[in-house]
Amino acid sequence: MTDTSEKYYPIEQVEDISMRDREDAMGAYLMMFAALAAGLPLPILNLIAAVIYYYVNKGKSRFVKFHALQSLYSQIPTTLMNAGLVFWTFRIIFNEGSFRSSDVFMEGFATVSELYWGYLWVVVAANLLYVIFSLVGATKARKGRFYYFLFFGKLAYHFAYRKEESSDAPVLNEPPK
Amino acid sequence: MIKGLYKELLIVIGAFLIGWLAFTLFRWVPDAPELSVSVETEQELGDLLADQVLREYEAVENDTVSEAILTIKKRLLTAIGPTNYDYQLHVLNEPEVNAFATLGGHIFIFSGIIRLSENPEELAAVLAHEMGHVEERHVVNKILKDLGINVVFSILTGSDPVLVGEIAKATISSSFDRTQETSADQFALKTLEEAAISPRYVSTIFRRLKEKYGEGDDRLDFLMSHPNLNKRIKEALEYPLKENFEAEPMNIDWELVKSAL
Repeated sequence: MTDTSEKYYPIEQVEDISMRDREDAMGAYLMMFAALAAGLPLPILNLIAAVIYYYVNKGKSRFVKFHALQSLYSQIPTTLMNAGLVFWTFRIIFNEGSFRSSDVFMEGFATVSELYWGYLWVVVAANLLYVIFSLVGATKARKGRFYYFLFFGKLAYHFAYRKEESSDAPVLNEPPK
Repeated sequence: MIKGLYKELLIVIGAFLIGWLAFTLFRWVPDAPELSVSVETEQELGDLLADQVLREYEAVENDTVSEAILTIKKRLLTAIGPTNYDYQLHVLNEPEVNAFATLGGHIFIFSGIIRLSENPEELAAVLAHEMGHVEERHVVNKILKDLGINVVFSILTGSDPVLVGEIAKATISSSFDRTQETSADQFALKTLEEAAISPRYVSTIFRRLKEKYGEGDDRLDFLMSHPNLNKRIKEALEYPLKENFEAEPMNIDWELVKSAL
């Protein structure tokens, strides 16, 4: 693991992380739920909220930055999928022939392709997973622990703990021998 | 970058795509529970509705036409085999291109579709499709779902002419869903083959309808509640015929029938 220690800052242990940081890190996940609910019809608000939260908190500590980034990254595909679903649904509703009279709402949907239904359920499943993982993430963050989502965890770790390029420059100044 | 990052990205994307595919193939769409009505009751309801329709539209009463329709009906019924329904085919004097099945095996044919079809086989294809809706009980399930069992049964007890009229209209304008259309198509193809009529006529009449109205026209609802016409034409053309299939021509002078309308 020498490679990691050269390129990445060391990971803090539980006792190194202040209560304040833990709560800020937890907030990165929890504030998503509020934003998610507020932005439901056009699920873009929560993404904006995530970006703002990240920029406000990224200077606090790497621990907070990591959790804010992980929350933000996992938010991106979820938001895109939800937006896709909303867009697709609206197209079905307002497309000619699908939105006719009275009880036709369901009838319009009866003629919708299987691909749409498949997409609908996979988006539902993805949102459920997102909520579950976010809750676990929030709980862990509150305890001062790390929790890595698949893919997004590694990505967030990379960008939160990576040492700046300049630190790879040749070492000229050294302490007295 | 960190080891395994791309692998995990692939897993995430793969899970999404596999999930989408799986949910598409094994989809779960809430279905209304099947309501059941005996064929006898359906027949009784159908007779009442048919009376109502015949009061509102002008029926064609012409021996040439009736005989032609009867010949087609006999051909198809031999192919279908034993059936619970007592099919009654009525020709209505309406220029509109339409044909629809109501309850109890009553099928109404608008003269417009007879004029549009180039030979009796094409009309047989349309009728076989409508019979498919009847045999597979699409009509009765659709009506019950739309109007509710109470409304439907109320016409049996009381004779409220307005109500019967409304139900008759609902029957005419009802459209079926994709799976129902597909199964009616399959039924039609099989029946036509059994009746020694080439199933390819399903595609020729569909094509003619498409040329006349284009896809997605409301007037085509009786045959297609969704505009996936090309696929259905293709399916009719690809339908595998038995090796010993031999079409037996209909002994009907179609031009004479058309001129008699």
